[in-house]
Amino acid sequence: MNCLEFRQLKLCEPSLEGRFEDQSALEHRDQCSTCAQFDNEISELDYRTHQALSVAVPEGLAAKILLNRSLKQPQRKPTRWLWLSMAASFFAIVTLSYQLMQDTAVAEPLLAHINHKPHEFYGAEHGAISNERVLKVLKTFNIEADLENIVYAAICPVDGEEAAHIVIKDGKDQYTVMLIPQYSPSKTFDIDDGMWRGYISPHPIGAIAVIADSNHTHAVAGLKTATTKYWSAFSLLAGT
Amino acid sequence: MEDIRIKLNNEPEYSPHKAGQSDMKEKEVLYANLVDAYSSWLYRYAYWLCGQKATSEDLVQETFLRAWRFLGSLKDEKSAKSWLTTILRRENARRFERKQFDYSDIELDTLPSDREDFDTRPEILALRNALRLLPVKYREPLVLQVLEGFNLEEIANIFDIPRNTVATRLHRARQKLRKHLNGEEELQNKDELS
Repeated sequence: MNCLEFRQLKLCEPSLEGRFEDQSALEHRDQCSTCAQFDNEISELDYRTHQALSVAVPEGLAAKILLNRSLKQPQRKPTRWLWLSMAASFFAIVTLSYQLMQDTAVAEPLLAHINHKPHEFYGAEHGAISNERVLKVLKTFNIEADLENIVYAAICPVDGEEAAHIVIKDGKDQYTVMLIPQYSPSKTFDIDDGMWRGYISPHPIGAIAVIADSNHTHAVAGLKTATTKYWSAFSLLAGT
Repeated sequence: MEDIRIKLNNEPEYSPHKAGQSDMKEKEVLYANLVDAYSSWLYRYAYWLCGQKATSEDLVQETFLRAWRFLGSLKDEKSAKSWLTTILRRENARRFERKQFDYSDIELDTLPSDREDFDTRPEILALRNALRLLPVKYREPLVLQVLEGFNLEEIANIFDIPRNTVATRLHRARQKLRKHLNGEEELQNKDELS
């Protein structure tokens, strides 16, 4: 290290002793009396500069700062956990709302279908239809049923998807059962448009809708029982 | 996620990820430690930035209020001093924008009582006057290095400028002071302290 390099280093980093890489600077200082004098001069300047810069700090400054904080922020700000829980609640509401919309989305096209072809609700005029036809419809969806008195069976479009449309005569009452494979509601819910009343329930095949004529009070009263009964009556043909 | 922990002066550890009342207690302990450890330094730094006691105190108060709000962003003990210094520096820049501080018509530092606050030896007074005249871009790194022992890298990080630029400014700061005190150069500065 030469004198110029030493002076440059000393002027920007006076504390040479603490730096391992400045060993060469220390060696130069020990060998060069002019630079040793310069070193002393700058160290003295820094010492006096430190004294000049050390202005008195107001008494009780720390206490005032702590007091100021407690006065200016009397109410706690929402914590990150509060924000997270709010976000989670919002997400849950959105999810539930979306799910509810999904659940009820099929009800309208389903009722529209029944309204469009009301005769299909009541089945064929000649009464019970052949087992072959029933089997053909159900086989389309890999479904088997242990029901009798199926008076109508067809594959119908509901909301652009194929569904099994079956009419069952149950004593004096008559129910339309729709089996909708592409639709998976999260829970059972009512459908009622004034003309038709019933339930849509989740089922292993997708969904099952059991609908009665609103004017047939006896059938409407038995809807819940019928829904449970038909839910278990239809099952999937495993592996076929 | 990695748990970020801060420990100051052998106080209980503070984890920003912990929730609840105990977390608030720990935050308050950490905050009190920071105030205790760095309020004096920040006040002096503020003073050499603005030159007024009242404004300096306001700056320190604002700095700590902001620090309280963003305490979770403080990663470890070692960075606390630099972090607070950076906040104060920004607060000082902000005061020109928002004009929230009330300035007294009387220069507090010219009042006789204030003389007691400083070393009144002639050579120190002369040096102090020279420091006031030193352009802020030279004075600021010098204050950080001489008064609080920041190294070149730390100063470069605080100012967000290259290390070599800091070295050059410190070099020139000492050269100017030395020449001024030796009567070789008159310091004339537009942004001198009041």
